[in-house]
Amino acid sequence: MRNFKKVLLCVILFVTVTAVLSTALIEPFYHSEYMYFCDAKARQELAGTLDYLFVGASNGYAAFVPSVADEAMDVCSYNLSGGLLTWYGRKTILEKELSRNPVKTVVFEISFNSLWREYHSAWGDSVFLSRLDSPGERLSFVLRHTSVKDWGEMYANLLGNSIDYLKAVVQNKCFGKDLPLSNVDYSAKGFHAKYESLQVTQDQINQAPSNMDTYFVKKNVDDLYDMINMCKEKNIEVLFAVVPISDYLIHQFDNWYEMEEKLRVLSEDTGCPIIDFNLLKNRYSLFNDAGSFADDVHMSKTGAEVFTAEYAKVMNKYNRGEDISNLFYSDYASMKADSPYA
Amino acid sequence: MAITSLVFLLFVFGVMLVYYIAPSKYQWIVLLAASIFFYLSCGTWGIFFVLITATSVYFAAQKIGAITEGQKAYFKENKDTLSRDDKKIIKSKNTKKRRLILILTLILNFGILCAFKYVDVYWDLALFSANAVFKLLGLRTINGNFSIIAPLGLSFYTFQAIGYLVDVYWDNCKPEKNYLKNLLFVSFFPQVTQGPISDYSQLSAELFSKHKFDYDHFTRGFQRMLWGFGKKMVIADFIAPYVQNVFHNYGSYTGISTLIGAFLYSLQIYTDFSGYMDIMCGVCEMFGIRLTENFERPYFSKSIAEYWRRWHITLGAWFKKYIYYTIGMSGWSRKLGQKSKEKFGKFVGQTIPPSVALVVVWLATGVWHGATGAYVAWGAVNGLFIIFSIWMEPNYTRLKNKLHIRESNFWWRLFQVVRTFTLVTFIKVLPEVGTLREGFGLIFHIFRDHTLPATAAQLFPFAESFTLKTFFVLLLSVLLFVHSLLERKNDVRDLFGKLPLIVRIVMLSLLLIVIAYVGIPASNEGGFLYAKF
Repeated sequence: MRNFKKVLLCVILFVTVTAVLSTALIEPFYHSEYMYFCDAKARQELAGTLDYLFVGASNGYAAFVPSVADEAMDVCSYNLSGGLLTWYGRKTILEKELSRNPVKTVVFEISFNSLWREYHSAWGDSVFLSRLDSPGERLSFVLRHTSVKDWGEMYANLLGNSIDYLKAVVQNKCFGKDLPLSNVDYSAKGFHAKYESLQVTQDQINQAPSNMDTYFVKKNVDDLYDMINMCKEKNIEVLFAVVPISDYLIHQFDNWYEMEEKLRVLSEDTGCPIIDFNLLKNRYSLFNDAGSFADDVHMSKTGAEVFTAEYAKVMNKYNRGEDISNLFYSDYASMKADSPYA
Repeated sequence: MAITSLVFLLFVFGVMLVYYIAPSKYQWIVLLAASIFFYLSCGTWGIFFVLITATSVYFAAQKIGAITEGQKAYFKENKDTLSRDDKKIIKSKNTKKRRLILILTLILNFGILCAFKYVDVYWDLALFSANAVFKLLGLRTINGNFSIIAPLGLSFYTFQAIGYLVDVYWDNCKPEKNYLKNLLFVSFFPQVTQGPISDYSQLSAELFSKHKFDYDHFTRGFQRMLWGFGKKMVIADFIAPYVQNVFHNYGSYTGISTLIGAFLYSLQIYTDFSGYMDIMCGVCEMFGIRLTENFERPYFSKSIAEYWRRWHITLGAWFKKYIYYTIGMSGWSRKLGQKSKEKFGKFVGQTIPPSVALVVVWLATGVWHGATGAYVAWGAVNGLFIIFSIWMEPNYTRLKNKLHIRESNFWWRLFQVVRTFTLVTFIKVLPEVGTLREGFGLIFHIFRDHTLPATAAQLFPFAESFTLKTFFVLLLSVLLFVHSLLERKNDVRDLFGKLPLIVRIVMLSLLLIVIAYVGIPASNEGGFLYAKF
């Protein structure tokens, strides 16, 4: 028994010392106001004013520019999207913002593979933790949602991000849009500008198209339905938006009709309209792969500003009850026929 | 279940809790259940082959043991009535029976081992033969690869089980009557994937005795386990991609850079394999079980022979006990030695039999590692160096006496250590680059390319991207070197144990944090190098 008590004391001491050292190393990450995903303070300051929310993953945060939407649509919006943000992460953040804002519209970004991807929680969740307000909230989120097998990787991600931030502080590199750890400016309201430019080689363009996997992951769909119900209970309008991806990526796959069908069924089942902005008839005059996209799936800053302005025009028409179907191709096949890659 | 994962740690501590709560006479059952669970978590179908090995060896051992004991009992009962010739005849008959059972079991188990390990070789041979016939007939040839994944730890647990069976055959130990205890011996989870390959008498004494929870065992075991994670995840996994880059693109590196890459490979494989050993020995120590050590400062060896007495000790011991001595002490080997002595003198007569045994041992060792030309050559080169040094020993002694070189001289010992480390590195590299040709190509490149690196980055792969992580890897490598130096005359863990408790805890916490920071991202890419054998 004495042996056991000694070991128990050592274990408690070890866990305590490790927790203290870890907290000291990780906390800077949560308090760094200069990393784009540490936006708890910004949302707190705007609490009570937001009436239009964008909710998605990295496609969402790179495509919707709230300041453009605000001016064009006369709303007060915020982009709650985040890189690799899991669906339960989206639910957590949406629930919080719905509870403290007079939200009228929620737009779910469901581009490309967002519903059929198995989200590897370690990275997305470790970033998401920085968007929560307190240690209690973070701990509760990890215990409720994150798989035990990802805890080690999450811890490593948090340590890594925090140490990178501390290095940047020491080197006085926390400001400026070009640096990896910072680009934020709270007026961006969740928007994460991407400054790169998509470069595609002829060989890549010539690759034969393949079929993408279009099986919806049940857990993702369940979380989506929970969010829709949350909104409906508060009489909040819900829309699904498919944000543009590069023309190059569209041509990599042959079976867009499968995705279209699945999304149509989802829209009917939930009673929420779905607008696929890939199918905008003027997409080839609005966007080009090199200028409008940072990579094959994410819009660049320029592309996002143009897209959000166009999004606002379409939504203003939609909100006025006008027919917007003439602004879109009927399907991906017809859109691809007009593509420069065709 | 990956060893370097949180899930594995939770598994170990969960099993430990049950182990120490359970009545001590059932502790081994807890270990058996844990071993089966562990194996199933790595892929369900492999357990089938573990059961085949454990069952075949169990029944074979029972039968062989029964014949042996039966014979002993019969001779004892009839010691007054049986003549010497009668006893000889009975012994001969029984030996034939026992040998047949042994051989059949060996064929079954080594057959499974060879089938899985060398299936791609058989496939290539079959394809080659078939295509030769097709060409003759003017038909189109076939291309294609075929491979299957071997059950986890097949090489290791097969050798361990076979070793036990041979010990029963030689009457070195009694057969284990309890099938489940036999199964635990074969499948014990800390050693099933990469060894150490244990002796039945030693391991059974540890596994089946009662263990009380002990502070020293737990804390020392935990420290060792953590140190093992550090070696594997921080050092081995971090330098692995750099080493692979040098090995696969050595043409674009200078000779010196390639040499540094080769030395880094030696560091990588040592920290990978010994790291695993430290993890598993640490885990076992927390259970109060002592496993056989597999490493003893191998890179401080003064000769290739000594190196192989310090590296993967249990594999070397297995080959020595079951192959080397079997050949060396066989009748024909003694006859060979006798004839050589008559013809060529005492020294040759004494040296030829062990040389022949060494050739067989080293070819077998090479094939155990892999049935490619590169691994066979690797084994042959190791064997040749050892045999050469045995033959040249009298000449070396004469030369050292002439040059007044004392064995205890520091500079002489340093020269021997550096020479051995360099030789061992070159030999190790041979099968790792790809084909044997590529292996030799890399070694020749080291000697042929005399270009001086223009930048630090060209000399040393980490120079260009020296980060905080690189610093921690270097720090841990230095600590490892110091640890190895201290180990010569001290029990380093005892020394560590003398530090104040809070200092030890802070150091271990920092090690854990470094492992998480550097090791988790690095180790996401790979498993353990020796698991492929």
